[in-house]
Amino acid sequence: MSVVIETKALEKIYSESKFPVHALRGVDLQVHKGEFTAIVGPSGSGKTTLLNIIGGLDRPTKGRISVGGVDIAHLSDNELIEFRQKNIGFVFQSYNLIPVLTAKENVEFIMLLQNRSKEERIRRTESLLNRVGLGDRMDNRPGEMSGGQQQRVAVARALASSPQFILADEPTANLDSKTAGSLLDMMLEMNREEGTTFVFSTHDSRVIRRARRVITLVDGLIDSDEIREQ
Amino acid sequence: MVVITAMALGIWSLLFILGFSHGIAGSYMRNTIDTQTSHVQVHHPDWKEDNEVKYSIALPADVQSEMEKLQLQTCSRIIANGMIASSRQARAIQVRGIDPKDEALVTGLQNFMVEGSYFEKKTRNPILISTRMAELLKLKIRSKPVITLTTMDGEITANAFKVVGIFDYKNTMLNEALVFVLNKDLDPILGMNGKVHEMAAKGEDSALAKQYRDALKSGLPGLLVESFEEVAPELAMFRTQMMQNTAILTSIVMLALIFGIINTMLMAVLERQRELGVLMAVGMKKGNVFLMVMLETVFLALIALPIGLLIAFATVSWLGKVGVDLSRYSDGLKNFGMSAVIHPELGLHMYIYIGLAVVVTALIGAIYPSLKAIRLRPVEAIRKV
Repeated sequence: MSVVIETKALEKIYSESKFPVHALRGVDLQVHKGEFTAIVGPSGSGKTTLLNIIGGLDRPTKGRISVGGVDIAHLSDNELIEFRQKNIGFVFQSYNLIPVLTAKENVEFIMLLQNRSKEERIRRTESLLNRVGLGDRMDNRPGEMSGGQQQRVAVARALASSPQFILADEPTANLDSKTAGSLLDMMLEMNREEGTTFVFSTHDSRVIRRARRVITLVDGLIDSDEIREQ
Repeated sequence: MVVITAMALGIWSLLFILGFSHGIAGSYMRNTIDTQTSHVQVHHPDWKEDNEVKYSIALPADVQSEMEKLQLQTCSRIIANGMIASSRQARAIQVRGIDPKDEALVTGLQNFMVEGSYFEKKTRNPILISTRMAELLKLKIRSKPVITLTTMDGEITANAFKVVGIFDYKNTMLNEALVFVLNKDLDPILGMNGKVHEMAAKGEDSALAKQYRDALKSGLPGLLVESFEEVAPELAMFRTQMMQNTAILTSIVMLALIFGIINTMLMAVLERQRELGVLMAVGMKKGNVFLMVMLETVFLALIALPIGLLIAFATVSWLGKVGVDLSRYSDGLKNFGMSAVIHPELGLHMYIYIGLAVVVTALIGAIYPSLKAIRLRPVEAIRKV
């Protein structure tokens, strides 16, 4: 399997306050295509920082991060935005859908940024929303949907740009167990059937239980990296 | 909605105030042109320095023919400074000897008559005086004031005139200074022998006054030909002042609008930090985010603009017809030669200028909030509650 994400001696120091915080202290990591990986660890262990750097939302203080062979730490702001648009799908803990857009528009919008044709946008939006089980809620705005449904739209949006992988920051944190279970089933199915790569940061034991690889971070370092056979 | 209403109200109030002040200016200009200056005047070259009787136009017929070539309404005047005396009082005045028919066409003096008649009855030495003069000298119709003048030969002469009509120019200064007699009566008294002191002419449009002046100048060498703005420099000054006031007023309102827009759009950006963060996180370029906030502002302005313009147009048009009655303050206005009822007026070009100014202002006001939006860091913005 090809390497999608690779970090070497990745460090992140937050120096805004009087006392610098070492969020990452030298993380070496490789994520391969098709993985379903959970990054776990206690609060303050550096999960979200690692995810932000992998996702190109933040820059490392030291070390190297490459996504699909591209060293993203040295891209300019606009190059990084374009890189994210083409290569990375995001699923946030609080869904973060655009409240004034319908489910369909939230998904289509990403493809609009990629200048895809209208026919392709409509076809792919409908296909993705059907795939996440929301074929009948396409014209609903986020406020008219449950948390689980919103997170499904967020997954469809993340997939819309045909990214190399999807980063999900605690995607089930705001969902009840039944909804969370159903969302995880759906993502696992996508991973199995379509080979979509998922990287989660999570506290949720349900996610950890189903992950094929579990990376545990403690104090900004990888404490364990467990690959499971399923 | 609040922003749109505020912007629309700002546009309306600005245009209304401009319409009102343009109405005052227009009324003042028209009154002055109608009653005093006409569009062009011709005098002896030395007349302006010293209004002496000897500085006259020798061949008024030639001047009239030049004016008629330009299809202007013309009138000639003999003008002399003198004293008017009743049994009660005497006052310094300017006596204007006119041809009633020509004067009526150029200044419409007959329209200002409030009592008696406009030289209609045949009487010896008829005179028109103002309401103010009648009051000061205790004169009425058929009274016979005596007017003392200096002739062309420098002799002092006194003649009795009979009041046949009383006019009111709605202008205190003119009411206190002018009396009108017949040209043909004044000519022999002063020994003018057909000469006059002033030839005035009026055309279709005051905007063409300078063209009339230039055309007459070339045909009348040796005479002083002036447009109304040269005859009464305060008119040009007033016009310039009005333009400056318009610019200052517009700038103040636009400045207030800019701060209003900055405040509103900044709030909109700060309230939507998370949304903007997400847009940038998922791949919306900074240029597009900048454009989005700018466009949003312009759209707000474009919604408010027609509302403000329409209400302003309706208000100015309606009040332009019915007028705003300022008769309570009319004494003050009369001192300046303005009428007591103001009819707001605003050219179409002003609506266009203000419209464009609002769009430009909206764009300027949107720059700072747009910059603020693109300076957001997605990693922080997406976590804002």
